[in-house]
Amino acid sequence: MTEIFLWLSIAFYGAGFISHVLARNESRHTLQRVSTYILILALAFLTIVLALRIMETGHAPMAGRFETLLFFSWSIAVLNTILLFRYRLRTTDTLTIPVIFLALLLAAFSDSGVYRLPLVLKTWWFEIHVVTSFFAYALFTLAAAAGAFYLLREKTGTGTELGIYQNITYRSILWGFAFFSGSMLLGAIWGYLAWGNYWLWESKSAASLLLWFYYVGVLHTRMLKGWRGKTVSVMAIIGFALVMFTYLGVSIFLKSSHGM
Amino acid sequence: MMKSIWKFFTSTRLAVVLSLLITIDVLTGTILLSSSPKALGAIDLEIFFYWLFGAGLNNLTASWWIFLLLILLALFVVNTIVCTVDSIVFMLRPRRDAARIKPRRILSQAIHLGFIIGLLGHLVSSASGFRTMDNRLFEGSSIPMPQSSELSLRLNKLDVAFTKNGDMQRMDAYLSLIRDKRVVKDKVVRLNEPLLYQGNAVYITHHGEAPESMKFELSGNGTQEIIKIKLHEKSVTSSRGYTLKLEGLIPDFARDSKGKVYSASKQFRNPALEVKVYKGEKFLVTGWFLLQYPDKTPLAFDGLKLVFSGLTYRPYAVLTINRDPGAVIVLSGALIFIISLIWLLFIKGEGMELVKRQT
Repeated sequence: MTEIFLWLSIAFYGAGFISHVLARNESRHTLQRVSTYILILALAFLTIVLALRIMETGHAPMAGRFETLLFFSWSIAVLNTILLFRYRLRTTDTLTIPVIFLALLLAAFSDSGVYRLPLVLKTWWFEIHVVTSFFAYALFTLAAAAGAFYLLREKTGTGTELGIYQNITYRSILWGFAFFSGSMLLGAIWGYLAWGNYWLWESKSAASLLLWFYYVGVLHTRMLKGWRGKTVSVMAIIGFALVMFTYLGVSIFLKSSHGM
Repeated sequence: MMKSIWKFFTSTRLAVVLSLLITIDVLTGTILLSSSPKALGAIDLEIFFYWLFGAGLNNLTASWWIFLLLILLALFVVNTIVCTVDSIVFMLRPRRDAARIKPRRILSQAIHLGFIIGLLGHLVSSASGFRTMDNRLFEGSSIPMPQSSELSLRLNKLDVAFTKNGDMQRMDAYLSLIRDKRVVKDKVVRLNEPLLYQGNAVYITHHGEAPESMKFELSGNGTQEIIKIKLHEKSVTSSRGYTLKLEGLIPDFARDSKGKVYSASKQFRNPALEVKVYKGEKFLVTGWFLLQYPDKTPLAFDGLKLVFSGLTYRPYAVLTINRDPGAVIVLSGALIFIISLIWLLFIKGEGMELVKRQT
């Protein structure tokens, strides 16, 4: 059942992306509306996948690559929906939907076996630590998408349009940084209660530290005249690469005792 | 000179450059942490500075980035302090328009302050306190708390349960902290639920059972008796007055052509125990118990049968006992940081929006 809804969600995100690209011409209102409905349905299917997974495993869907990829995709999709309904903004979808699509595709080919959580992970500290970190990752992804659009439209876009991209980049990073700092604090408290160390010198924790300092730098960049706009946009895109390194790179290519 | 140094450290550009340098340094460190487990694997096992200036200095090819990180962090902290002081001086300067001091500015400095307090706490953690691992505490027994002449820790009960699939369901250690023979704190310690007392923290990491005694079954004439002999004891007398004396243990039982017992190897392939049985002072019988085939090698005397029936085990909890005086300071700093940051996001209606709304 989970697999059926997962593939439905993947198919709808694929179709949603194609219709979204085709509907970019503003005169095609009907196609825009169809694309919106398809993406809402895709999110609904993804939410069902998460709900089924919770019922199947008995815990929040945050253990292992399969579950975290689902949750990562869901977080970005929720952000897209907020942008759509609160701000009537869909431009960044052009880049965030492919990220969701690829993450779901990767999830579909990952091990989806149901494993019992080790006792040490059965705590709400772990759950909110992971939830906050994945919302931060989603916000950093959105920032990178807006940054990329700023660079693409730098020469041809209007001042208002570029201002919106800059705004999304900065505010997403600010929110993402708040979530990520919260996640690191929650992880530290959990680590102290579980092992007696609020900080562990291992790859994943170090990668989180580098990501944190990177975004400290990006946030300060905005205070520098001449560094806004293009520099912040480039840094937001590099930031996304660092997010991917922290989230997937460390667990795929390096050894870490931290898990996903 | 002082003015130019001060000006150099108030620079936001410096903060950006240092952040990016720290990022690159820690990126290298992330890879080294994964690729050099032998050189860096023990960092978390002891107080950080003891490790750094001991094993860290001896493995500079793997640990150089940590030294560089400390230098960069020190510069970053100086940068942060100077910026904060500069900003506070600016805010306190008498001016006509008091409204110029914006809450946003105060909160930004509170974020800086939280960061500095957090790092200060980490410095304290890195240089003080203690960490002790693999403290084995048997059920019903006590151990002294490390670096404390007054406190001791007793394991009253260990409750471990597994599911049918073999997954651990529960690992509860019922601990009592004792001072002057009086219990000062009782706590069921589980994973994620340590015992915290006056800066000390006790964690359960795993559990086990250790052999405690050998068990013999004496039966016959319509009676049955279990005789236990502790591993460190050499003899035991049963309730019926039979004394069992342990004469020797050999790892790989064998007999030569003359029937003399010897050990065929040093490996425990076929361990055997020689026991002599007495009634009072009178020697009755001697024999070898093959420990892997207990019921096949009984000793017979007085119409009774003596069989080795295995070992008894005593459960124990393995505890980590730490004291980290910096942890509370780190937590305080982190809370100031996070609360100020969230406050900053919500300070105006505009602040909490993801996109600045067009008016």
